[in-house]
Amino acid sequence: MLRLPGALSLDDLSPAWAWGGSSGEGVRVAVVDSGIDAGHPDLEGKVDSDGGIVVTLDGNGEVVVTSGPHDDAFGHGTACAGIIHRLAPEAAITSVRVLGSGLVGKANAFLAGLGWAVERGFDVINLSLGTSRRDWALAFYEVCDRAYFQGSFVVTAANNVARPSFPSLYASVASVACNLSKDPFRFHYNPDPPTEFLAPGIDIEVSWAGGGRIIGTGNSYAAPHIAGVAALVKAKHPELRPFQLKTVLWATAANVREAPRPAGRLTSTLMSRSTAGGRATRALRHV
Amino acid sequence: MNPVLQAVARAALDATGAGAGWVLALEGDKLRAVGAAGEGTGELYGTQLPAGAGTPGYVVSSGQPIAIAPRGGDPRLGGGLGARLGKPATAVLCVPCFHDDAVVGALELVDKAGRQQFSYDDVELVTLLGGIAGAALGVAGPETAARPPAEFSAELAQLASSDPTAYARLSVVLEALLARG
Repeated sequence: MLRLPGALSLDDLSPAWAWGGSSGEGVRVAVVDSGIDAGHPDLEGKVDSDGGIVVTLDGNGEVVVTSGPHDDAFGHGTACAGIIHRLAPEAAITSVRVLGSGLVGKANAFLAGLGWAVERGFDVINLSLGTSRRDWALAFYEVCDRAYFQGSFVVTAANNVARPSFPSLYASVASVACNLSKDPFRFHYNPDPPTEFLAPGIDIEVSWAGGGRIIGTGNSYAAPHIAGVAALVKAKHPELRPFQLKTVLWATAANVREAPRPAGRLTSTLMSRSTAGGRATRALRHV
Repeated sequence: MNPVLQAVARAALDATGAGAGWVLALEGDKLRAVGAAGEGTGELYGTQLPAGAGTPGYVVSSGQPIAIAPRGGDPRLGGGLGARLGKPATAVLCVPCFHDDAVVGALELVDKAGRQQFSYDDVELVTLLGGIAGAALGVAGPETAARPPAEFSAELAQLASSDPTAYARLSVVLEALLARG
């Protein structure tokens, strides 16, 4: 029987046990993206402006890291931060800006930003982007392994076509695609990896750079939902390692909890139809 | 204007109900319009944007497709070529165009009919069309290794089985491309 702190069996892994009463306080979340509009009213001052970084490349293509406050080059990072803050209002959010002018498709910039967040031991790292460059696959594999073994939970957006995207393919991260839910706490387990979780990401009202809001659709909005829930769980159960966090997320997923058999049984009935990547959404149209 | 890319842009409009759309090729630190369809897009061919600008800039940087719509008529949405149409976009859908492992451009659509938002199905379908645009953008000569036809046939057969609607839409594009020889 698997034992987790404060629980007797997998059946005890309820949402109430996992995150009930948690606000995310004490948890540090890194958003590796286009930057964050820290002054956005939706974020309520929870962005550590001074602690963030901007990753750029010099004339020789070498990585340059600049610390301190910065803006959002596009708006997406603010959207991700807003989703995480909405779910875990007391979690501290730090921006790792790896997208923007001059950084088009630069995998080394992504890697440097992710590596920086791992080195600083962030509890949760949201990475709503990736690279298809196979020559960078090993480098991302190694940094994600490092994150996994040191206790940093990396959440990535799945690719919505059958094309490799790193690091979302790796077992060391939680890869997320969209479900059809509008409830931010209603997420699903996908039994056909590498996408392991499905979370709200369709027609989501999100914060946007400049102080406003837009409606967004995409797997890149689903990932921060899981990041936010993970922050809540980690705040309440700080001892949990990434593999335990994944177990908790699996056990508290809507389709697992609503399965005919209890979550504690390894033969729990899950989706029988085969799915792939972001297209997993179709398998859950009846959930 | 590249007829294949124009056909892809047109197919994307017809499939989603978008008002206008264009294919942007990534050329160094610029994005250049190389195919367009829809009202008012005739003047856009050849227009260049900074590669990091607006929605297509985000998409080519992140490799992630995205669909956004303003809430309450916010005019700051999208940027880029959409702004050149003279009115703020009511909805934007943009997907990356891949060739082999690299992002080589973006396919962007604006203004879904009825002032609606682009759906997740639109995102998935246009992503498929973006793949065709990527193949067209990436074809550079005899040194480019093309996948064997049998591989495409197998994938098309799987798509026809798993998603007949998407396959039907894609077949229209393929027929148009084949008709052009």
